[in-house]
Amino acid sequence: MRLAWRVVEFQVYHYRRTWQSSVVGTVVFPVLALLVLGIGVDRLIGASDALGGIRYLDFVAPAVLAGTAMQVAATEATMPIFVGLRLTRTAEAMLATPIGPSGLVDGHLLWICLRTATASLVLFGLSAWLGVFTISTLVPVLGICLLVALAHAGPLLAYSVRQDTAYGLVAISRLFVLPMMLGAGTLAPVDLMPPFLAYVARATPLWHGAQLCRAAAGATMPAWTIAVHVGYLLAWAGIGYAFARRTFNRRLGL
Amino acid sequence: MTGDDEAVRCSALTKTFGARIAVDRLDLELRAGESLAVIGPNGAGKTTTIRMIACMTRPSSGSLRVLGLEPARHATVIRHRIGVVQQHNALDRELSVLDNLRLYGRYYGMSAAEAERRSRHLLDFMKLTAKADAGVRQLSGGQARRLSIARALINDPALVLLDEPTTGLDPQARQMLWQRLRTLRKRGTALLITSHYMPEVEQLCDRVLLMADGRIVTSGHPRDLVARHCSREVVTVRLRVGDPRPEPAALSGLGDFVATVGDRVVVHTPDARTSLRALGDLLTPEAVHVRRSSLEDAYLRLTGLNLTEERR
Repeated sequence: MRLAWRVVEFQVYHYRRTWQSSVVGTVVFPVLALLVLGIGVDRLIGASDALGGIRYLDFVAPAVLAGTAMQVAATEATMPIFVGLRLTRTAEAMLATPIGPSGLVDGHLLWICLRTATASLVLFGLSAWLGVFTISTLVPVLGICLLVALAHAGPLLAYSVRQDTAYGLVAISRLFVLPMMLGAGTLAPVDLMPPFLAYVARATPLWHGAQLCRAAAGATMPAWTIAVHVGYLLAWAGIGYAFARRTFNRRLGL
Repeated sequence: MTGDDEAVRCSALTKTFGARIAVDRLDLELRAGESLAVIGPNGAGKTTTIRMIACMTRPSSGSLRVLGLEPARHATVIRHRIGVVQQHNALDRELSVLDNLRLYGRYYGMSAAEAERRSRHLLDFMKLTAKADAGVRQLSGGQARRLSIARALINDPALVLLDEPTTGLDPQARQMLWQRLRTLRKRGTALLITSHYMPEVEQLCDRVLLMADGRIVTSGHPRDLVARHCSREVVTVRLRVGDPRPEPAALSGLGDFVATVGDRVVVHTPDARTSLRALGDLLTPEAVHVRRSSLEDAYLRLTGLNLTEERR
């Protein structure tokens, strides 16, 4: 784990020079989405029966937090890995050092956690200012966001390391990340969707993360449901992590 | 070879990618303070061999020990003690020269102060001190290559693997790098070098291992390989444009080895004067060049003078 922090140190140095390119997608866009959806759409539709009588802002803001966590994971676990291994080869250079493939996975996951935490803090602050969360829920909300990020990061790292061209990364962004961002019970309740799509939405880790964030924001939810959501995300994170390490070691090392 | 000075030892080392055999039953030994060149055409298996030794890819079969340790069980320990210069510089173009070195030192578990001290020492060693705060984008090709090699030395490695270290460098930069590599060897560092540049191999290496299609074709000291596989002298005759190419049978008696390559006839011969007299009876050359045979001649003779379709 000590060596994984050295990967984070590299990422911090690198990020100091390149933060402008990613901050738009992982902070500015979610903030704008929160303001437009949470305030604009909220004023348009008000409290709806379909939402159980709560404000649209209270429904959508927790999902924006969870969705942003997924977006950070998708951003950091795909193109930077591909570029580092196939184009600049800086990640490949790390493989010849004690970092090795496992350290590369651990380091990237740590970095994704840090990036998720910072982006989530900004959104949590704005949401709390809008009255969605109370300050006391900061730690659980951050924990949920980290869990959502890790649930996506492991499988995406494993996927990215297998790509020889960038086409596969564009496909995963357009075919999975964007549809999940829009349809995994984020902007509207899954109960309003056709039954088949509702099942698909409930199978996504993002829906479970969004539901947990809603629970943290005060939505009524039985304890066993919360346990199922947490367990589902933990399973994705754990299996994804094991899968990522195995794939990295097979593809890039011993 | 005793365990203490063993840098690399492999036996029947094989690597396959699907049905393709990249390295086929390779035997290799390298001691501390020794310099070994692995040469061969593109696709011969040189880089794959380096990657196996660097614990960057798993051998398919055979045995491999690096610094007395098995990569399959001690990869991290081995990586701590080796340096790898890959074909691509793989420098971070967003960072400064010094930061590229410092951060790399941190991967080896060095403290920030130790990484800084080693980085500045290596910048001095590679004559890059004036560029310490420059961005990598501002470096020339030669400077970037020197930085890449400096980075591979950050952990004071016992074994350095260099994959085509001077490709694309100007003669001054190449000479300077050779001097630095000789210094390392004198200090007891083992060097394993792949190269397509035969004068480099003759300058730097105690032994040469020639590979083709994943297999060892021959090995030995550069001078021994030349003596074993070449005649004393090489005559190269360039034919006039439009002249008919001579029949191979007509040239066969000109020397120990005769080949036509494009508009040139190459003759390996123990006596250039006799061969030239015989050539004069057969051809009207535009230019004639006579020289002592070199490792490149041995290389070309063993691997084929012409670029073959599968090696292109």
